[in-house]
Amino acid sequence: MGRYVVRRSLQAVFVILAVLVVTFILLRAIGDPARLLVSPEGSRENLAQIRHALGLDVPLHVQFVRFMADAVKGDFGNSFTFGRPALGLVLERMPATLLLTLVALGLAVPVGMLLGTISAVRRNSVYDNLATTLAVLGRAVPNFWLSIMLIVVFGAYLKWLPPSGFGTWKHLVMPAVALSAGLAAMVARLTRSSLLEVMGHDFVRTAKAKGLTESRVLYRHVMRNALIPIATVVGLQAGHLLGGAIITETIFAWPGVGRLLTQSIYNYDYPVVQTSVFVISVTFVFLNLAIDLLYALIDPRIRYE
Amino acid sequence: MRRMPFILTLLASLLLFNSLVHAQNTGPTTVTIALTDDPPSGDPHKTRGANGGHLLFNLFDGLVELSGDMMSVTPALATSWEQIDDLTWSFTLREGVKFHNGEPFTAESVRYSIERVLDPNAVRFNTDFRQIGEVDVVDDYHVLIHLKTPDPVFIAKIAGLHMVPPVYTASVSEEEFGAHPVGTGPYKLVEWVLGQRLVLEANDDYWNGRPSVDRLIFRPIPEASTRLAELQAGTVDIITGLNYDAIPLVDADPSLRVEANSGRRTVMMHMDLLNGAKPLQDVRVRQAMSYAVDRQLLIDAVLNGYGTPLATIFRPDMAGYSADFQPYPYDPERAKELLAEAGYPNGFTIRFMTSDGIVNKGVEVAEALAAMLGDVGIKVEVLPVALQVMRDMYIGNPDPAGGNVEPLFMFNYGAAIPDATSPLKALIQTGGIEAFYEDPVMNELINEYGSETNVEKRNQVAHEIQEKLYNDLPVIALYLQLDTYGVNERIDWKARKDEYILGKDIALR
Amino acid sequence: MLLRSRTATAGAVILVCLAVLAALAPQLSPHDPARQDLRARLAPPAWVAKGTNAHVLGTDQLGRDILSRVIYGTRISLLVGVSVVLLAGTLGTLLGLLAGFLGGKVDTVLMRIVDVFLAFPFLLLAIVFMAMLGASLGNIILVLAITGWVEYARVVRAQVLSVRELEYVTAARALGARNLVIMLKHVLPNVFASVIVIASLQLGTVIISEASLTFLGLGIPPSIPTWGSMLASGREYFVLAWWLPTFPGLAIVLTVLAVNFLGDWLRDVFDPTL
Repeated sequence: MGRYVVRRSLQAVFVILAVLVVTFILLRAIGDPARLLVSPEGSRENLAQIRHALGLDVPLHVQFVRFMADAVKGDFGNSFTFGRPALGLVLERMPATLLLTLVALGLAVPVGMLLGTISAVRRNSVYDNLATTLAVLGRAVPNFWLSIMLIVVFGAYLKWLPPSGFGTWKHLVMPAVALSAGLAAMVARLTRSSLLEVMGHDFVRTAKAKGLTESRVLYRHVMRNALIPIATVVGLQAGHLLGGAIITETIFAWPGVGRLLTQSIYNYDYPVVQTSVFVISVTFVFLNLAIDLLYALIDPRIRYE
Repeated sequence: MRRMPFILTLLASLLLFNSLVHAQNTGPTTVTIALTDDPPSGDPHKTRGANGGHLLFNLFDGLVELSGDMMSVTPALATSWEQIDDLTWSFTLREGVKFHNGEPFTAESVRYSIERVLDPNAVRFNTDFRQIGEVDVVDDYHVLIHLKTPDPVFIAKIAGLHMVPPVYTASVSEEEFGAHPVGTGPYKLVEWVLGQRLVLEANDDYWNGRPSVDRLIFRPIPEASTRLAELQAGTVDIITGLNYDAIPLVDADPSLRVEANSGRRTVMMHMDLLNGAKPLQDVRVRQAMSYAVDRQLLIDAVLNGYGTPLATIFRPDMAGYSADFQPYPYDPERAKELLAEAGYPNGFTIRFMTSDGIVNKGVEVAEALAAMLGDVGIKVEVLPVALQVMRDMYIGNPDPAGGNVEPLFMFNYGAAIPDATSPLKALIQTGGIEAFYEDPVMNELINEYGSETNVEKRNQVAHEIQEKLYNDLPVIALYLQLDTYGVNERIDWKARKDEYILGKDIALR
Repeated sequence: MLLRSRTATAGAVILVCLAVLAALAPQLSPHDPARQDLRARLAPPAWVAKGTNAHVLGTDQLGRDILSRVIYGTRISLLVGVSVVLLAGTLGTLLGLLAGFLGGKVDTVLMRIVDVFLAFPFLLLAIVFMAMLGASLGNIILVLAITGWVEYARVVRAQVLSVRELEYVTAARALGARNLVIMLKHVLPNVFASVIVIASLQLGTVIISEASLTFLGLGIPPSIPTWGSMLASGREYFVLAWWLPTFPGLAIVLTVLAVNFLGDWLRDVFDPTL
């Protein structure tokens, strides 16, 4: 196990490096940031000035060497748009994103697992149909549709909650609900199908035959085995959320990494994009490494050679 | 152990903001304004960006200022001025003015600011100021500004040249200055959290009297429907870019009203006439396109009436505008004839790039135009993209750094002063940053227009330019777009032509 | 068998209806979906005051008939959904099987590629693709498929890891069965349930993703009516003209519901252990 952890950690570092290199190349393929920074009333001299000031007038490989050399030293450069250090900009946005992600997951996982379990245990009953429909609805409603409806109803008309922004717990309610709806649906569906699958296995039948009560079987044998796909998907989703619940953050003017990333991709703000991608990929890669290791704890049949 | 501080930080930040929000409800008078995005920088000499003006024109002053309708120049940091000859201007400065940090405003500040904006080794927003040569400090409150070339609209242009404090500016980095700008303006910056809010507080020592609203809060809210909801909820007092279709809704709400400015942005179909699609190279095709467009219907339907048809890129308020040129009438038959004459009796197919960011309702307008052009046989494929993708396409091309230009694209130009020099140089004159046209006579005429100080002669040149623009159609002008704002009835405020939302214009009812 | 599940029956009926709508769009649409009438914009549905029977579900910002656009939108939305699921599902399942079953270097390399894809912001990829290749139907499908396979690969691999140690698989191996045979005969059926579940979920997600891309300004050109683009461009009209976002929104919700109901049922049928 110890050697496995070391090997996977090394691999994780390579993944992060690969992500950085790909980001560097893709960014340079999309466009010229100087053109976005120059004023529409500007001149070609202005354009050249800006290119020079941003270090974009040197060959690509030189830019790359500079970037890597600085990155190793922890210097990710200044934002082209805001002129401030990119790392600071990204880290400043992390708490808002983490808060939203954690609250959304905290809402979605229990609700989803509850709905999924009801469906599986009372299979093909009215309860199953109801729970399934409810879960699927959460997923069938496009996120931005739901978000805007929430804003219109609870923000503009009932005036119960502030329509957008960051600050009090009231600001958190709508974005967290909007974000967790799809997630809860996904967890519910996976819980249901994994439970059903595991319930069909021999060892469960054996356990039942041995006379264990249904809830006992459910907890001791079924749940544990059903957790694998759920953990996988939640891990993946957590990654996506960290990378920015882009639409939710945009609609609710939530000052998270996702909105910063979107904004900087559109502004071709290379340093900020590179830094956010770096921060997100580090978080994501290590989170999923942890989940992989958890498999071994949940399911003793998985071995790491 | 490492987990503790993080959770504490989260809790603390929640509690902190909670108290902050409560504080806003009592205390000083506050007006909250929704912007589409953060301004890029608080440095007035760098790029301004779409939302920059709201910040900069509250924090800084120029030597003079333009009235809200752009029609008159009034004293600001200069109390009087005089044109000594074609190339020399003399300014008498206001005495006793202090920057927000206490630094006195003097002739030295003027010299420093002008030299800073002209610094060839830095990123600067200076197209309007490149004709400035030297600045002579006569004494603490008198300066002479020498021009390299005559400039008929110099005095209006320098309203946008903001004065910065020399000692502070020189003592901090450019980045630091951009994040913590210091000016002489009616408001000073007290807090700027990117993505959340910009807080400005009234300057007690403002030379023109302390503004009546104590605090301005600008909030970046990218989504239009969210901005509208904030206005309806009463949590935001002014929203920009109010959807024309939302006007009846805002009108119907007794606590809200609609404000519109008199329009700074001219909307047009822009074309690559250097290397673009072949049919467009024929002037008859361009004329056919202009005849095929029903400008009035477009304005009435898509813009809810908030626009004025245009014949050329000359706004009616621009120096030398001539009413001799009226927008092409809607005449699809004439359009078809012209297309047939040009050898395209069955029309042709062309791509039309647009964006909701480039003009109000950019995609809808383009789709409507596509249908109108389709009626005379020109098959238009509308290609909606993000504004930045568009800018990357049309700015500075053709360019050694590469990039393909779309044959036809939506465009707007919002000249900051009532003068056509800057749009002509940017859009029409060969080598302009967004120009795809080559006509030596036109290029010469634009230079003359830009430097002729005799009003009568200048108007003559302007007439010639408009005639050529009208007949040769290097761009197809469509309409002047009015910008609409949703405003809470608790405040008094009129929209300015320059689009900036200034605290000194606002009063609580 | 299908009729035993009420939800699955409902799902099947809805999907058959949608398929018919898609196939017969030109015959069923009362109007040309692209035909504008600027003088009749934002006309409400027939049963609302000021509504007309000419436009049963009303008209949009440019006076186009919403009913016709929803009907034509069925084609595009289903086309995008099915193509992406087929492309992504096949690729992802194959790679997941390979990684899980072969293990070792193949697993390591494949899973690291998966990690790179997952750690990478989808939006950046989408913008690069759309900027370089241009916004078109094919490119939307490509972008969604390129990012969509990853989910299958991860889940399939995890399931294979769990299945391959089951007694019957180890037994088959002990009996000398070839890897390929084991994989297809014993492992694949076991993971198929998960693949079906993901596919049914993804079909819905893809339809919604297409809408999200349009929301972000990266969608299909507006001349092609899709539910996603109708919803995205109608989002400012919730209060002003509710019929703009409501009907395409309902179409999406209904379709995703149907697909999911059917996916549930398929899972039961394909699951060999039940």
